[in-house]
Amino acid sequence: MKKLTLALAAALLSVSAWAQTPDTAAILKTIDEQSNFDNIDFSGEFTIVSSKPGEENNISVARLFRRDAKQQFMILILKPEVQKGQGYLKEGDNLWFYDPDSRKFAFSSLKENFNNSDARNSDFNRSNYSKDYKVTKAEAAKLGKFDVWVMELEATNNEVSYPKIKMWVRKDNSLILKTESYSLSGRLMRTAAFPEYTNVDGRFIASKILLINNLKEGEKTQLSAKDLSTKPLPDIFNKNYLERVNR
Amino acid sequence: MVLPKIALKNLGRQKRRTVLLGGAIAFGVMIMFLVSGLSQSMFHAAEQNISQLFSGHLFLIGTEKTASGRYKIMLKNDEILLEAMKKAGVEYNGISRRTTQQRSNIIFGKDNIIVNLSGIDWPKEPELAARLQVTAGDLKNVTGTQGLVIAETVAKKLNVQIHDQVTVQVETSTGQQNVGDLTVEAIFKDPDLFGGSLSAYADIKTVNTLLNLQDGEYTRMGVGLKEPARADELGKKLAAQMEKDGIPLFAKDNFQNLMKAWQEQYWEGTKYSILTINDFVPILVPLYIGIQVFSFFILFVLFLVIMVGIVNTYRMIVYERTKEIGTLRALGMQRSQVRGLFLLEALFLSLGGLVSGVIAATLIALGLGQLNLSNTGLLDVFLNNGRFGFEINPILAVLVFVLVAGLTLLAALFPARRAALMSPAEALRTTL
Repeated sequence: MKKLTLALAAALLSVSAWAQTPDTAAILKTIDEQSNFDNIDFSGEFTIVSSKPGEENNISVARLFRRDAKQQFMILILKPEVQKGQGYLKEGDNLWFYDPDSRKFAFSSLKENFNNSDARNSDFNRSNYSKDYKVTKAEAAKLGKFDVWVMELEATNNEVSYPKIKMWVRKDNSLILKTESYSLSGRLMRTAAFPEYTNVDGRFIASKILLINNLKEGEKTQLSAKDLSTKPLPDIFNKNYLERVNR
Repeated sequence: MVLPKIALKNLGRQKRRTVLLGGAIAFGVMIMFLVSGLSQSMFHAAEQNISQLFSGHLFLIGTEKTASGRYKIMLKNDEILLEAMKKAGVEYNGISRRTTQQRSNIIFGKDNIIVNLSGIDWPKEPELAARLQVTAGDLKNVTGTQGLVIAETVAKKLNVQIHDQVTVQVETSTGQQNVGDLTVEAIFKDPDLFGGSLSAYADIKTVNTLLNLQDGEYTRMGVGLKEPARADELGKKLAAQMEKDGIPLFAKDNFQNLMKAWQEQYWEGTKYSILTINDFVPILVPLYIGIQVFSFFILFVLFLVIMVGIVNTYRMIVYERTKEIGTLRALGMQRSQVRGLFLLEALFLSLGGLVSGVIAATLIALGLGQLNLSNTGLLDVFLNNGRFGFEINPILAVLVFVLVAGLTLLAALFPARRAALMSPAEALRTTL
């Protein structure tokens, strides 16, 4: 009897443990699939409010255009007025910054901060967690009212910006609620919260994001998105378009 | 020999007129030499100061391409480069090996600043330690430690003091974000390079760890040339030698275009780029040339005005000495000798003005050199230890001499011709 009880308990524990272990690779794949637009175009207007202690809030409005199938995106800055017409164009591995005042293109980087905010240019790019990261640890938890998986991710290559990420993902729909991004030395650099998503043609785009700079006290950035659309875009992913728009 | 003696005597007869005319010439020459001499010295001082900050006049950068197509800046095993320099005849006083990152973010509390962070092998770069004007702390506390040396402007912006711990955020050689805590161990006066260069230094091993480089790896080799003025020429010679030796090399270009080439091209192993000090501060040479051309233009305009004065004065001299010219002609002096006499007077006048102008410029420059301007910040990069220098370019000096003498002779030519063409009888009949 005692042996049977022990065996039953062991079996129950195994089942319970199995139920608590998610298929993390599948979760990462789902995260990518439901936020990327592999066969269609995407565009939206983003407002970026950057707050730094002792300074006035810096508000930018930019229009984002994406064609994930060709790894292209373009960001056109609409506000503030002094920066209107500036833009970023990604062609393959190259990211160009266009300044309408000088009418010149300069090399930029996906890893650079966007318009002096805590958002990076790569934040506007397609999601690639399944390719760039592997999950080293996952456990169940609660974040607010949501049941989540708390996953610790390690980069699978040495070229992504953050070698380590901790991620809170909803169990029911694999939407990211929060991320903590760590440096190579293991220092927390940035915390991102994703309180709101919008369904755009079956994909989920975070329509509100809060980014906190953990290295610099009091610095944060809020992004909000509107006018999200998957209407086909004309041939705009080239330098000519950025120049034409500014004429 | 008689004519020169007479010419010199004639100049002494009207001392006031001679001094005024000569003084006008001297003024123009003084301005020219002062502007040219100061700008030449400032240019060389800037080259020297910048090369000391950048640790060389010629720079070699190695880049590798990763599997994903990203480039990585890294140098190691540099024996082939040293061998190529030897074959190309590039003579140098020293080599520096540094790990640098241009956009490192130093954070202290709510403040931050973007700086050019350099990893230094301090025992091998005593010149840098000697050159840095340390105003607080001690450089001895930096070797082999997490110590950081920052410019005064950086310290002021962050409101940090010695022994404060700051956070340094960098991008590694492959683009990963990394963060480390360093301690401010020394603060130095940073010459403001056109308002754009904010510097910080740390031990090379500390910076290598931040950038995820191994021991012995670095990002830039600086070569301190024995002949800095030949930096561009020696760079080309080295490039030719490296191509001859089959060492992969990017075509010479400015830094922006090189970055584009690193991004767009594909290669295996390490491919090198050669840059000179003029590539890092491209404005220097055009600025220097511009100032030299401008000073020549000023001299030319001044002399056009002075020439008008010389022409008028010599016309008056010829008029005043009409009877004297008649007497000389009557005594057998030929027309060419009369013309030659006036031209010689003009030549001696111009030579006197030239010499006086050069002496005046030198004295003023020496006076300016007594001023200690090392606290102005703005001019530091153009000064030699906080003071103006003065250098006369011999070729320029010869050109100025030729120009001034030529213009003076030209101004005196027409009156001199007129004097030579005078009829002796009519000249003697003149009532003056």
